Amino acid sequence: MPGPTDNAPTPPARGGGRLRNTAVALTLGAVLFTVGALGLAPPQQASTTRSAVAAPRSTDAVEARRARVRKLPADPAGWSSLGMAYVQQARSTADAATYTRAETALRKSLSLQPSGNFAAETGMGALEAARHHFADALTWAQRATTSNPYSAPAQGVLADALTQLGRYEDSYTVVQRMTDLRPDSSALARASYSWELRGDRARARDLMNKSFQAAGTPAERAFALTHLATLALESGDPRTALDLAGTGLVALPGDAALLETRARAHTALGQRAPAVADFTAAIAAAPLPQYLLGLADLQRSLGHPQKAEEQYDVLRAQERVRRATGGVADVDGVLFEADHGDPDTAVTMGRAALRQRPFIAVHDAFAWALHRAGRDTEAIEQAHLALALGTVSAPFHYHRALINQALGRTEAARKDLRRALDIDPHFHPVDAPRARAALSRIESDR
Amino acid sequence: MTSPTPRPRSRRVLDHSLLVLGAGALATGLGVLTLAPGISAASSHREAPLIAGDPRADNTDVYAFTSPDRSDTVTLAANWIPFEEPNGGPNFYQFADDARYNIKIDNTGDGNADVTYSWRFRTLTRDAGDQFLYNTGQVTSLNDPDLNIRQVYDLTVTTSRGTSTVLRGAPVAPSNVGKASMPNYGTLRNQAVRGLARGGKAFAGQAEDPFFADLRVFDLLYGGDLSERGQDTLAGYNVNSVALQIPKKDLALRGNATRNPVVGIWSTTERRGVQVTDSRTRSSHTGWKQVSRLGNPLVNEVVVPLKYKDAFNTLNPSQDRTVQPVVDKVLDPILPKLIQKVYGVPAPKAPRNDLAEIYLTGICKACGPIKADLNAHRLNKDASLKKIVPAEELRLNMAVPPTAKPNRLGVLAGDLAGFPNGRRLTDDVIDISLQAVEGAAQTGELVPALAAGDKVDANEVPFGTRFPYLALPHSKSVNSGPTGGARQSATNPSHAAALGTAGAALLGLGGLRLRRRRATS
Repeated sequence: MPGPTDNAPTPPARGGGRLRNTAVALTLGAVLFTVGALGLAPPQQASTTRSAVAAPRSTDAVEARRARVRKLPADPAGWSSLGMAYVQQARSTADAATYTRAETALRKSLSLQPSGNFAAETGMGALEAARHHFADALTWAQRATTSNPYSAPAQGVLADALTQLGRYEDSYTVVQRMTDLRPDSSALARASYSWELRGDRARARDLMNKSFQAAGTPAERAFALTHLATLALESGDPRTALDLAGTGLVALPGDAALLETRARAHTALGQRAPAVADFTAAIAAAPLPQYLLGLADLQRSLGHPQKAEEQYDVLRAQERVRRATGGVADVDGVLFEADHGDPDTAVTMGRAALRQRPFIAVHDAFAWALHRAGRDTEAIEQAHLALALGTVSAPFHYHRALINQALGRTEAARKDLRRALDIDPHFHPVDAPRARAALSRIESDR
Repeated sequence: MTSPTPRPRSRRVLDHSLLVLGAGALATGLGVLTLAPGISAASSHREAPLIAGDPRADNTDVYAFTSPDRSDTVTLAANWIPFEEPNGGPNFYQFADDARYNIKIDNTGDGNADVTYSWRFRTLTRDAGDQFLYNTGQVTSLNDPDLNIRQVYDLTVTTSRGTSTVLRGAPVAPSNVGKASMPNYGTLRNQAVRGLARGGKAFAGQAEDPFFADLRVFDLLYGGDLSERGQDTLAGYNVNSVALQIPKKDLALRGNATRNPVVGIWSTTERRGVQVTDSRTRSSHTGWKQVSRLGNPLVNEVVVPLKYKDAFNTLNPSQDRTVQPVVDKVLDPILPKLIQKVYGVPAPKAPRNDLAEIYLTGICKACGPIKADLNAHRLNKDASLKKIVPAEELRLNMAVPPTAKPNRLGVLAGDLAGFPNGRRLTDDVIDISLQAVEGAAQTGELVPALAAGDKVDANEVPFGTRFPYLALPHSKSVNSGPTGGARQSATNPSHAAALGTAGAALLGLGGLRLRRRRATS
C-alpha cells in the first residue's frame, strides 16, 4: 500500500475553516512575536503549508464553551468545561496565558459550586499537573475522586499525579480503578503507559492499539498514534513509526507531538530534509524544549553547529524566563544545561526538579547532570533509579553506560551500551553513533 | 464531544447547547499570548487526554412500544452517536467494534435482566485499490462491491436458559452518504431488516435521530432565556440505531404476556476491561465493563444529579436503591425548585412518591399516589412481590393496545400507550417530563404555566408505518437543511467536538491503515 507520505492530503477543513485559520494566524503570530520579543531570530519557517494547519483543534471547543458561559454565566458545569478545554488547549500549545485562563474559569466554577464540584476539581488537578505542580495536582485529584468516586477522569488525574510523584504502585492501582470504571481511550492510554514504564512493550503496544480503537476524538486518536509511533520508533522500527505518525497527521494535521515523532522517525531513517521540516513545523506549533533540542541535535549530527546554536539561543531565552519567574526546570532544561551550559548549575536545577517531580526521567536527567559535573558516584545511584522500574529506554541505558565507564566499571558500561543499541540502534542522532564507538572501543580492548 | 464527565444524556444537553450557542464565537480570545514560564515546564511529561469523547458508547435514547401494525409484538429501539452530521461526502459513522451493545428486559421487577439482547459489530473492508473510501461507486445493495467499508453484527439473546445466537453476520444499514452514492437508500434500509427464526425482526444501522426537543429548556436552570424555545436542536441529524421487533411472549415473565404484561427495559454499552496491576483477581478486571446505561429519557436531567451520573452509568438497576442520594433526589428533585425560583410555579411538596412511581417502581394504585394501575411489575400476576425492588427502568405494559392516533403527551393526556408507559417515537418526552416533575401525573392536570413546554411538539420528519419505524437518515448537511440560517451557526463547533465528520471518517481510515499494517508486517 502507499504509505502515508509527507504530502499526505489533508482532509478539507470542513466548516470551521475560517475560524481555524484565524486561530492559526494568531497562534503563529504569537509564537513569532514571543521569540522576536526576546531579540532572537525566529525559528526557521520551512514548511508553511504544514504550519498553516497547525492550529490546535481545541480552539473550536474552547470557543463554543466561551459562548456558553457568556450566555449562562451561572452554570458551574459550563465554567468547568471551559476550564478543562483551556487546559487541553494549553497542553498542545504550551502557552502559559492559557493556563491562567483555565484557572480563572475553573475558579469561577468552584465559586459557583464550592462543594462536590468534581468536574472543576478534576480540571484544577489537570491544570496543576500541566504546570508541573504535582503535589497540588494530587490534592485536587484526591478532592475530585472523593467528590465523585465513579468519575474516570478524576481517577485519571489522580493516576497522573501519582506517576509523576514516583508513587508507581499506587498509580497502577488507580489506573486499574479507572479502567474498571470506564475502559475508554483515555483510560486505556494510561494502562498502556503503566506497562511501558514497567518495560512490557508488547502489552503497552496492545493497550495503546486498544486506546486507538476506542478513540472518539481527533485528539485521542492523535495521542494514541503518537505513542504507537513512539513505541515503534524506540524499538528500532522507524519505518512503522513513520507510517503511524503520517496516519495521525492525516487525522490531526499540524499536531506538534506527531510532527516531532515523525521528525524523529525521519532522523532515524536518515531522511534529513523532511526531519528538519517536521521539527521546524512542530516548533512553530509549540516551541517546546524537547523539540528545540531535537532539532538542534539533528543539526549537530548533520554538521551544522550554527543552526543548532539558533535553537540553543531559544532554549537559553526560555531558561532566562524560567529563572526570572522562579519556575522549576524540567528534564530538557537540565539536560541542556548539563551539556551546553554549566554542569554544576545543571546539578542544582536537577535536584530542584527531582524535589518537585521524583519521576524516572528526572532521575535520568539528574544523573546526567551529576556525571557532567564529575560526580559519578552520586550519578550512578540516580541512573539506577531511572531504570528501577525496568523501563526499556535506550537513552537511560546510554547515560548509565557513560557513568559506569567514568567509574571504571567497563563491563557494566558495555552491557548498558549494548542494551541501548539493542533497544534502538538510532536512539539519538549524536549519542547513538557515540554509543557504537564506545562499545567497539570496549569490545576491541577485551 | 468533550465534556467534564462521561454522562450521556447530559452531555447531549450540554454539548448541544454549546453547539447551538457556539455560533457567535470568534477567535478573539487568542488575543495576546505571552511567553511565560509555562513553556519550560511543559515538556517530557506525558498526559493522555483526560476527557474522553465516547459517542459510540454513550446511549442517547431508548424506545419501547407495542408495534402499531403487529400488536402481538413489541418494538425496542436504542440509539448511539448523536449529532451525526449528514454531509454527503466523507462522513460515515460506525458502531464500535470493540464495544458490546445491549437491550435488557426485566420481567420480574428485581432490577436484573431476564432477557438480554446483545450486539457485537465487525467492520469489513473490501479495500479495492487501497482507497480507504466508504464507497467506490454507486451503492445499490448491501452486498454491492462498491460499498467498500461495511459493518455486520452478531445478535445474541441471553436468558436464564443461556445464550443463543439470533443472527450471525447480519448487515448494518450504511451511513447515508447522499443521492449520488446511494440513489435509493430505502432499498438498502429494507435489506438491513432481517427476520428472526423465532418470529420478529431486527435492524441495525443509521437512522434519522427520532428525538425531538429544544434542549435549551434545561438552560433555564442557569438563567437561560426560555423565550428562545421552539427550535428542534436535533433536527437534521442522524444516529446509529439498533431495533428489534419481538413477540411479546418472548419478553414476558413465564412467556405469558396476558398474565404478566409488564416489562422494564433499558439499554447499556460495555467496553472490555484490561489488566493494569499484577493482582490475582485478573478476571474481575478483564471482563465487560458497563460504561453507559439508559432507560427513561432525560433521567439525568430530571432526577439524577450531575454528581451521581457516573455512578448511575455503571450500575445495574437492581443496585439503584442502594445509592441513597439518587433515591433522595428522585423523592426531592432540584428541577421543580429551580422552576419555582425562576418562574414562580410552585414546586410540589416532597417526598415525590409520584416520581418514584414513574422512574423506580412503575405506576400502580398500591405503588404510590398515582391512582392508576398501569405499568408496575406488581401488576404481573406471577410476580414474586418480595423480589420487586425500586429500579430505574423504562416500564411498558404490553397489554395496553396501541393508539390509532397517538397523543404526544402520552399518559398525561389519557393516551395510555405512550410515555411513561414505554416510549413511542412520537412521544414528547421533554414536555411530559416537565409536566411530570411539576406533579401533573399525581394531580391529573397539566401545569398551565409550562403547557408550551419546549415548543417543539413533533419530529421534523414523519416516522415510518412499519418496522423499524425510524425515519430514513438525512443525507443533506444540516447547514443546507430546511431550518436554514439558525442551523448554520450550530454546526461548526461540532467538528471540533469530534462528532465531526472528518474525524469520524478518518477514524475508520486510521483504523484500517493500522490493521493493514499489522496484517502485513
